[in-house]
Amino acid sequence: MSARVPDQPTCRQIVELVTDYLEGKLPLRERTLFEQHLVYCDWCRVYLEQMRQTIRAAGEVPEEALDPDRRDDLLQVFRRWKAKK
Amino acid sequence: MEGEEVIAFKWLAKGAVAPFTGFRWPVNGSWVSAPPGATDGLGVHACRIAHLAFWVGEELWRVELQGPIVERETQLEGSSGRLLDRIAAWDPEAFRQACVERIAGFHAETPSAELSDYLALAKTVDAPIASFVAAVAAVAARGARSAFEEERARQSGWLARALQLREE
Repeated sequence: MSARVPDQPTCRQIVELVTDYLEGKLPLRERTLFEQHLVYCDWCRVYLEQMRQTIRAAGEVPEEALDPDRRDDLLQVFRRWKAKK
Repeated sequence: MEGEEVIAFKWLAKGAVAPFTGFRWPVNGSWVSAPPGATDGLGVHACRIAHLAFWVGEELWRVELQGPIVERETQLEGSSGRLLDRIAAWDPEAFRQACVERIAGFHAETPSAELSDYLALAKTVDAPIASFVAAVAAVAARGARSAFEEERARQSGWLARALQLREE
């Protein structure tokens, strides 16, 4: 539906922009359009709140709390992903 | 508008909560300031009557902004602000219904499956979504993207009349 409207971001674009939005890095116009989208899109509002909660929760986990084996698993996954790019 | 004070309007979620940040505004008239060094777009926001429809929420408040105040495309941004009073007459259901009737009007003028879908959708959603759907339906009915902004302006006018708002 938003394809009919000039400049309105799609939900997919909102997902791509959410990190920059939360870090205050979006240019002013994109930030405004992002927030206008949130006014009428329940799904994206929920997604934004989930991201906020995830960041809060992750920020409370100290590095030492991560099991060394799990850390190695994650590093391997990340390196494989990076090698594919 | 540096150093000026402006009376404007601000939409909030229930309980005077900012819809995007979750910040709970004090309802006792205390001033709230943007964080020191806040960049463009991260100050205290409100809007003129002409742009009310872009930001519809659960509660509407009359607010005072303090400068420097920047006027943007659909909102005002100040370095600090405070809530003055809540617009008790705001009736989201009446606004939603007006949007539904507007889409019904478009559909009566230029019947189409697309407008029929918009009409059915608007009957099932809340006021912010219904107003967006009505603006999109205006584009479909008129065949011009400028109809979106025109419909938003019309909706803002409806709100101003229904709530007896005026610029100060």
